[in-house]
Amino acid sequence: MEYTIQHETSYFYPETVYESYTVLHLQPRSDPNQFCTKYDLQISPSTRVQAYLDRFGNDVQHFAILPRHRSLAITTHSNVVTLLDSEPSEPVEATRALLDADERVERMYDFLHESSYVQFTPELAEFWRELDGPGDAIGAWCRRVSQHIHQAFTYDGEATTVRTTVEGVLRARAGVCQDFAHLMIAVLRSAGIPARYVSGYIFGGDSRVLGAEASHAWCEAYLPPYGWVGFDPTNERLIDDHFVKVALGRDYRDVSPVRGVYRGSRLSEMSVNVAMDVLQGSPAYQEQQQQQ
Amino acid sequence: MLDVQPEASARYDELYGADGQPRAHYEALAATLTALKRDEVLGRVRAINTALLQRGVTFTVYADQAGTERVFPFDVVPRILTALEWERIERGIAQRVRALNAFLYDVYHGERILIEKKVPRDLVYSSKGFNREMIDLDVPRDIYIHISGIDLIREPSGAFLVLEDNCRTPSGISYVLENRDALKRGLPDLFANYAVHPVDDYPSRLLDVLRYTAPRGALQPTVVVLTPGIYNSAYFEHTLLARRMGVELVEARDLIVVDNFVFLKTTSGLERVDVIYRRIDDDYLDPLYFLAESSLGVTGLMNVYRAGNVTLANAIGTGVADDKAIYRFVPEMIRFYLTEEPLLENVPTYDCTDDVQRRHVLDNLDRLVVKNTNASGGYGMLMGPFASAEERESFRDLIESNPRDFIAQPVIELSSSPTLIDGELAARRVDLRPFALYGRTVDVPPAALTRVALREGSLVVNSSQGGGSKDTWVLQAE
Amino acid sequence: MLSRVAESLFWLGRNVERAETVARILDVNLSRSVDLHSQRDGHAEQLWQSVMRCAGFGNEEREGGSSVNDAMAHCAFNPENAGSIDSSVRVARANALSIRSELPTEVWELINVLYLFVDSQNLRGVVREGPSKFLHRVRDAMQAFAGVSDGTMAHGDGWHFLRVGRCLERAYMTARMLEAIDAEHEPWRESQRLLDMCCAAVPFAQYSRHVPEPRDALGFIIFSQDFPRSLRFCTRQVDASMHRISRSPEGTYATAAERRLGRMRALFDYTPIEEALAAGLAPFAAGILREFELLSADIEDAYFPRLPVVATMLA
Repeated sequence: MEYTIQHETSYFYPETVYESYTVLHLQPRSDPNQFCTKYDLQISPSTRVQAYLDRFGNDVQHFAILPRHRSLAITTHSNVVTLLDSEPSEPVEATRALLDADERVERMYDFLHESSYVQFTPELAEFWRELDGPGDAIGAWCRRVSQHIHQAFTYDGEATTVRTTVEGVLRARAGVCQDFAHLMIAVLRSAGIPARYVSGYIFGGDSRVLGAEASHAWCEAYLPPYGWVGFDPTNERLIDDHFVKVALGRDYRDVSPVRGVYRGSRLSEMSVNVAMDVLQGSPAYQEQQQQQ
Repeated sequence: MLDVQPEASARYDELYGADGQPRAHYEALAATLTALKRDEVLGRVRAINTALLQRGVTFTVYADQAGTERVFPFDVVPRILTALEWERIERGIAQRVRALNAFLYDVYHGERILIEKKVPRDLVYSSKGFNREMIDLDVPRDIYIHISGIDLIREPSGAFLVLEDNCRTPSGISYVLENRDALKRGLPDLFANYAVHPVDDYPSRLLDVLRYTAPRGALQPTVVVLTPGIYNSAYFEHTLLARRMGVELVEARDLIVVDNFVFLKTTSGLERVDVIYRRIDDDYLDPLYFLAESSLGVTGLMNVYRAGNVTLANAIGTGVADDKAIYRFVPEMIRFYLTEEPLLENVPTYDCTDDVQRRHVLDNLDRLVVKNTNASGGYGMLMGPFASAEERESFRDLIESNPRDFIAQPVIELSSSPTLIDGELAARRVDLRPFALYGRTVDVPPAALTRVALREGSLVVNSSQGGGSKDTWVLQAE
Repeated sequence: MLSRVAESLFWLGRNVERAETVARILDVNLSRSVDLHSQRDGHAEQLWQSVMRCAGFGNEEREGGSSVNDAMAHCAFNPENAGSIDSSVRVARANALSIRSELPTEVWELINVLYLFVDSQNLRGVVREGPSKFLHRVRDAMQAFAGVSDGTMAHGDGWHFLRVGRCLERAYMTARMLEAIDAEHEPWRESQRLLDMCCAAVPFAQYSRHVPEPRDALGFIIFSQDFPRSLRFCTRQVDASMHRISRSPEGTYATAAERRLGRMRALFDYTPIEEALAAGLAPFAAGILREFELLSADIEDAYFPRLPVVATMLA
């Protein structure tokens, strides 16, 4: 499938601000399962943009707006081709034995330990009691964790904020995709399964999915023999061709779409708009149509 | 007359040999001290202290909100090192610093030492000083530790051991410079018959290193010293070094990042900065990447650093090299990176994350020194033999809940040096902090700080815990 | 140079000058009050009230007596009085500390030694020993500061900011003295007191050829071209330094501060004294004071920008 995505983030400041420095994780990744065929970044007021590749392989852009301004608008237009299956199969062959034998796990310290949003607190230990133990079939177990989170928590945009950690989610028993992803990661890591955070987009189309028209978040678990397998606890599904990956990291802190520091009044109003469509007329689309 | 007498004990006496007589290189000093009139010496000491106070050679102690400025107590009896002793120290420290630097390059790039399991990956990644933004980042000339202070102690046999590495923002050189100045003016008689290496070329050597490590393309590099400001306990040192090097002392608000370069805000416009000798902790350097609440940092600095457009001395992320839990692997680093045997040995150290060693530590808390791997300045430390039962119990709990945060070492009898206490000479324990400057080579100037524990029987020399300093004389070779 | 350093030099200059002036005002009036005390006609009280008016800041609504002890308490030692000797020396030292690496060692030591001295003193001890000793020490240290800084600092932008601070404060304090004297009811005595407070008795005597009138003394303090403490002279110094800093030619202006200075210079250069004092000395002085306050604000706006806190955004 090929998608075209427009992602707009705007800030409005009641009092002028200046010396504003911003870091973006908005460019969709290219990897064996997807490529980004177009990425266009517009910033207003206009300014020079610098870029680098971070340690997770994310394409990061950053810029500064030094003179006084009252608003900031960041718009990206991306086209992404995804090669994932529309109906991925369950990772049933992933076992603890295979994980223990995999040499690469040794180098995954960051995906096995706490990070800013993911803490192993007493609330998490409490939550463990609601789950059955992982056992050897860890692939199936991850799926069950995802299902449990989906059932036991309410999707509620008002219950948490962008700064809520796992502890806060467990207390609220509610949240949004960012929170469920963090929670699932916390559970997996405390079971010794490497887990990482993914930000991106989910295509709704005609069906109702949570997280469409916005930045979406899910998690990936390292499950040999498959490698990294994606789970979306918010919508309770495996990652398929409706998903576009933008960035990955330990948690939200590593992949925040827009993060910045500026001088001036603390007050600001923010609005985000994401529009995602199938790119009709693209070869991938044609192929899809032909298959049906 | 000042009575200069040896005291019996199991420690190495800097001044007296085993025969109870002054060592050869101290003979002239002992003779001068004996000949001087006590009242005159005490008068000169008072004058020296007044001069230090008037010059503002102080540090600030923060017991509560308000800080009190104190003159760092200065003892006028110098500590003397022979040329041969110094040469051994110099070579040992240069070797150690080269290995530490290589370690830093390795953990932030290929991780060979971790892959070959010479150092546990977990220890490195759980170290508070390990900074993930530095992964795969290249720094100018691959130099991370431009300035380090390696703390040495002298055990009863007379051999120097490394007590601790300081690779982040080691301080103390200002006392070395001011003490020498004060002693030369106040008690020049002491210097008779001695050829002592001068110390005041340290600032120019430091400037050379800073200029040498400027980013490529910076032809006449602009160097600045970045200070957190007048409330920092080492502020005096920041001003001294800036002034003696002839460079600007700046605070965060004087700097601004524009187009991925750092500039100084002057009344006549922006001036590019190439090298920043920063006396600010990593976490406070850039609110965009580290602590967002920091007002001491320069927003966007990390990206300038990433692009190779500014040198930071020391580099970000050097804290993993002076992490006390990593300390015991330094001899291994020397073998691994330099294929040499360590010239200076470590103090034996117990690893509390190892079950067997932790058991031993907990069984012997009354005989060991326990240190927190994340603390400095002598805080978070248990001096087993001198602590109360409650203090030992509370450390027991701490060690059991967070073993990675603690290491333990046997109590080493530090060497002692005669020190003027209440008008009399008495033996007090000392350590030694030489400073190493890593530029073209690793240079260890003969300008080391000797700290002295002023409290009787104390083995703790830190300024915040009742320590003082002595002038350190490195004798020129005959 | 760094804006922060320029700002510290400016405030260092202002506080050094203020401490010196307040010390001198207290000292001059101290000896006068001894004479007046014996007269028991309320003159001593009026004297000290006048001293408080010109050397005591933020005390417009103050209650309390007007005696030498009150004056010393408030003008020398009160930490809540931003213009007291204690406060000025403290602030001067804090500013010197923050630019320590820029100052010659001798300049720093002078300020630090004075600070250590003032810090060690208290009101009772000073009054018991006789305030003169304390006041002379402060005054002498500040005069030494002037000499040492002029002699050891390069006369570049930094030195000019220091001079701007000192001359601005000097003119400002002189204007405060003009406002605080009672020239209407006691023209002779008050104009003589003014001359003493400005250290102008001898220069004025040398300058006036004929038998002087009280108004001549006022004219001298306001308009003298050569006396370094006159309003005219100080304004000209500030103007010269500001133009040096901005590199703009005299007669033009690069900042609002320079524009204001131009007008003030014209006032002092070309206004006849009768016109200036037509409405009375006090209103004239009040107007001048206001101009100097605005001038300081103009300088701060131009060269010492304020930096608000940093805020973060997350999306």
